Amino acid sequence: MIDEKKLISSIKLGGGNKDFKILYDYYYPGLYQFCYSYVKSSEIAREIVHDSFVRLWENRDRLDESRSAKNYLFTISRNQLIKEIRRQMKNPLLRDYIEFAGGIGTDARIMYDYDTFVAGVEKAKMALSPRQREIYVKNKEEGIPVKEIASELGIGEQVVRNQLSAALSKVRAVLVRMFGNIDEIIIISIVILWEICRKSFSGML
Amino acid sequence: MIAYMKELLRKYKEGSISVEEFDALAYRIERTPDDVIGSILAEDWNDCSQGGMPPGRKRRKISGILRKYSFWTGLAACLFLAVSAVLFMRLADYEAKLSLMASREVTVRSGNAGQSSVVLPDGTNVILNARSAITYSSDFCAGDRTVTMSGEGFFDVAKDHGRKFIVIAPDMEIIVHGTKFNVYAYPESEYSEMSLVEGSVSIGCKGSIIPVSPNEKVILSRKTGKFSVSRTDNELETSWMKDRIVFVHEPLSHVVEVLERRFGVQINCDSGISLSDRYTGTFKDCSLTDIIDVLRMHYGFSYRIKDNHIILTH
Repeated sequence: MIDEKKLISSIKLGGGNKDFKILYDYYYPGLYQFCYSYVKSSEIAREIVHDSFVRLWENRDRLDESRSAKNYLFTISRNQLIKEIRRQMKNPLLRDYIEFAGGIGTDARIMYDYDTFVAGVEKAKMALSPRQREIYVKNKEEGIPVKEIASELGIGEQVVRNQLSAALSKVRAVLVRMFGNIDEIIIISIVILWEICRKSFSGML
Repeated sequence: MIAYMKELLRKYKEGSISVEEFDALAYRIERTPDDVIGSILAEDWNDCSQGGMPPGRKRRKISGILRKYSFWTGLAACLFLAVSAVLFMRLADYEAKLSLMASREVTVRSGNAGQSSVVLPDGTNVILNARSAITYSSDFCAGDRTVTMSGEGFFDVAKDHGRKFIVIAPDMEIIVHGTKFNVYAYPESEYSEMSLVEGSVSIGCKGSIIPVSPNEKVILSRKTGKFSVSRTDNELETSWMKDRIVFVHEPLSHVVEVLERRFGVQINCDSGISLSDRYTGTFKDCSLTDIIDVLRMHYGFSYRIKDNHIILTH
């Protein structure tokens, strides 16, 4: 255990970076893992944790030794974390990842997490034509329904649907190539099933 | 209702949630006010084990304090502690802890490139990869043999049935009886791992102990704090010691790190280069420019070399 009270009062009294660093090293991994488990993105998690420590440092003169740093860090990071959770819950890409992750093994999920998936999708998007990319981004990343995209672009709904389905199969093909080493057969069969389901439901989209 | 949401959140955190459940969770979160979500998070945060400081650091700090005093104070402390230790032994088994506190530490650091070899007082052989360090106390041979390390190292542990050999890496503790294994634990990496070549070890982390058999490796993700155990032929894990560099489905960012360590250079990548692109390949007796040339063809980037700096541009 670290002597937290002593650290907090020393930090409060203008004590050095050194004591703050001890506190930082002690709490960083736990807070990072906590935030990551809720937002699934290392970039967002790092940002929340970093901001929290910055705010703790900026308000160091108002610290109260009787409260624990664990308590402080949570209070500081809570609102930003809730905001990011709400945002991730509406993120179509995260939903796509969960659908994708459902098909790979538990071990593979550790290596192929949401961050890897997003990087894969980013790469896959390069293979799309500009029109396809525009429709893909609007629908899959901004969550705009097919109907609205059609009226916005002044084209038929069926055209949007066709473009979207072509874009999706290209993206999946790249993903399969990227994640190919793990469980290629399983993924390919999921993709095929996915496409079949999508095709049969496309009338209802 | 809240109980169901908590259950869904748990599955989401673990990564075992289905799409249907995720939709249900998103629906509920959207309709739940901040203070309710806040109290669920608070409960979860309080259940979390405090902080994440590796077990080895505390001891290092104590001897750091001792180092500030003079040799004679140290010697007096040693004698005092040795006497106390004998006295205490009858009451409780404090001896190991006290002698650890009284010891001085020896740290061996490897350079920016290549490897260094260290022989510990008990005859254990350690090969350190670049930018790695190993620390052991001067009374290493007294109780359990404990070393602290960061970076990457290959251990060939001398057999000693009486005393355990313990490696403390940033996120894990490895408990050994005469064996060969590789530890990868660079602080800047997203994961640390231990792969076992011979013998048997147990890994301790956050209260759980995982036994490991030969040709198995344990990977700890720093994102989730979770372990996974998988099979390996140790070819990839120990390739850094041979004149070969092996990459199996590794992202470019990792390839760059390995080359930096092997050749002691700094490699900077332009933002146009996708660091998550994966690479598979083996290089044998290759110079740095040979390897960069192969990667250049594979990824289609261009590069320039200036002293110890290599800049990759799209």
